[in-house]
Amino acid sequence: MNEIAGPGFPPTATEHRAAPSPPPAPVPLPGEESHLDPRVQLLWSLLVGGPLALLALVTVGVAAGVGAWELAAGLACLGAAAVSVAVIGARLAWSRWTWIAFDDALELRHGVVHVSSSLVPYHRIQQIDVHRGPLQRLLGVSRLVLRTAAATTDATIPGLGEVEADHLRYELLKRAGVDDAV
Amino acid sequence: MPSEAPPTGGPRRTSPRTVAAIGVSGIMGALVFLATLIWSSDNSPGGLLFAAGIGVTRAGVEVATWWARTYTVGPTQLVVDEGLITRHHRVVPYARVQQVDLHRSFMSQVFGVAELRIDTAGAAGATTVRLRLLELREAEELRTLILTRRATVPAGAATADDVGGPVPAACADPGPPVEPIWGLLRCEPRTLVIGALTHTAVVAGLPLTILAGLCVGIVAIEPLGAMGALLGIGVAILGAAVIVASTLVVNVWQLWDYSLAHQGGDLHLRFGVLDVRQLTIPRTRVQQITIIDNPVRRRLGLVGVTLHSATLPGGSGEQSGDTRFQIPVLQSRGLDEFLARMMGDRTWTPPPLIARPPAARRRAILRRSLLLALVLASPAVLGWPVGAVLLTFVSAGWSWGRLAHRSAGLGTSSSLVALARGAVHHRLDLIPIARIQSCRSVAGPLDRRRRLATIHVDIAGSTRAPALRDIDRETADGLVRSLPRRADRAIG
Repeated sequence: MNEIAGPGFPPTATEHRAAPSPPPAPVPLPGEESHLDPRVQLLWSLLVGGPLALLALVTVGVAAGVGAWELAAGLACLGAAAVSVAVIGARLAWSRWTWIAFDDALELRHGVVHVSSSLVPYHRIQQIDVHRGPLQRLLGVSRLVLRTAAATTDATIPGLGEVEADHLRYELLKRAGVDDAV
Repeated sequence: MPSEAPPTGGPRRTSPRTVAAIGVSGIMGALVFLATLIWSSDNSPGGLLFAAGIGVTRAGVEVATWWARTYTVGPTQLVVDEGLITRHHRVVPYARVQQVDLHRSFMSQVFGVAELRIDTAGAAGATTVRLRLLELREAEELRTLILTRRATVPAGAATADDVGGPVPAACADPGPPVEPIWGLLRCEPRTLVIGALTHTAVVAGLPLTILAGLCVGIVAIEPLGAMGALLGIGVAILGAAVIVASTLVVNVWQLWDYSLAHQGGDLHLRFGVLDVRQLTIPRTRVQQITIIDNPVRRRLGLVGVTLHSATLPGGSGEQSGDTRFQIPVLQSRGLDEFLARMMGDRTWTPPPLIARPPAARRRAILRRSLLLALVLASPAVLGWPVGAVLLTFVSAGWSWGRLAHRSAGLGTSSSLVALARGAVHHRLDLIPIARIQSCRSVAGPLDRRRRLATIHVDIAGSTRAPALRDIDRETADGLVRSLPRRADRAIG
């Protein structure tokens, strides 16, 4: 268990690694349109394009192994096209993903084909999770998940820098409701 | 209402009669199993021993489970410990209680006990605490205590060591409730029968059964002659009888002696004879009210109403339980007045609906015509050229779409959001603005071309957010920005 020396916010994963740095200082919320961390494009490209590239490599290898060179060339082209689509898709999705932290609520806008816009008041926030998978840790990005009492609320910011995620989480927790708000 | 001081402190066990009440049900199950076994194995003594072993094991498990379950009534929270192998320690702060349900099955009534279910917000099962089983008087007293303390104990008053002990002055019980109980609705058997016969299951099921009988008759008339026609009529009559009988059982037998009342800020619902349910939901915890009708009910001026709390319906196994709060049938003429009286608030009147833009009508017609074309395409091709006649039914999509468009709409008032939809069965969702958790608008590529969007209103206790398709995109975006903020201001 981490011991908290005094009043304040417990140290986050970022600070543990950078110990003994002090807890994050309160940072005013931007109040303007913000994009996700650009590294999330690489993450999405890897998550979608990686398995496709692997599949293409295996099938091309098998086709080359049996001497079907034309088929291998065709599969290689197909694999390259699929990976390119994944990379372009990740770039497009990143460019369309924006969030605005107002004084009273968080607005999220995202989607390439289906454009979604949602607004979550801070007082409705029940829980804030920060997810960092192995690949995300490698790239230094975090996924911030806001939960309200409604199971259907769509409030996940999928790619923030680690420090930015910790600061935003801290600021949102300060503003989160104290009642169950249901 | 009980006048004695409610039970506090603990830990204490539930009624020892729990073992008998559950054990008898188990023995009856074992007897049925035994009879099946003997019937299938020509009176083999092995079967008898096997069934007896199951019965004894079941009884042992029930006794041990009862022994392991204890509850503690604290000043600000209820604590329940249970589980034989895996121990569960569950803490329910009174201030977080969404719904209280006193359930008396037939066997519980025989043994004079009752089950108390306490729901907090979240998935059913995960957040439902069940006390199986308490003496009836004790269950009623505990229910009263929880409801009283829910109203008096401030949220966040509970502490980690708040289990039993003396009650702090700030959280002391004010004694028996002084609020009088006001009756709101009592459904006579005749009303329940009308509700069952006009239920959507009957209204939609009967035409389908008649159609099925017609199909059977047409197919069988050639090989069987007059007998084939009789067979078709028989199928239609049998199907209709099954639908009507099952609907009558569900909506008349289970809802027998239905009464709805309010006491202060709580709504009390009671129904059932062999399986008696007494549900209580605080008015301020109502997340949504749904009003549903169908063509027959519209003709008779009737509607059905469902109240939704923040407890998600469903759950499984031991934790399953129907937490619906339904009013089977009401006169639609006095509905506004009834809603205002039930919720104790004049602002609970459905706001006038604003129609969707003309582009939404075209999409409603197109969507339904395409659906009909898809469904009818295969039989039309298979039965070509006579089957082509079926394609003329695609034109029904035009009327269907127009009907759907006419009944759909969105309205807002100072305290409510109303979403209406449905071509044949109309559904009106009324959502208190103060209960909105968040809002979303979603627009696909075709929606964007027509400047349309779908709005979703997220509320607690719903796995599917109330939504309305094809509203003006600017209106949707405006509502997404304003409704959650108004909700925020409404709760201060």
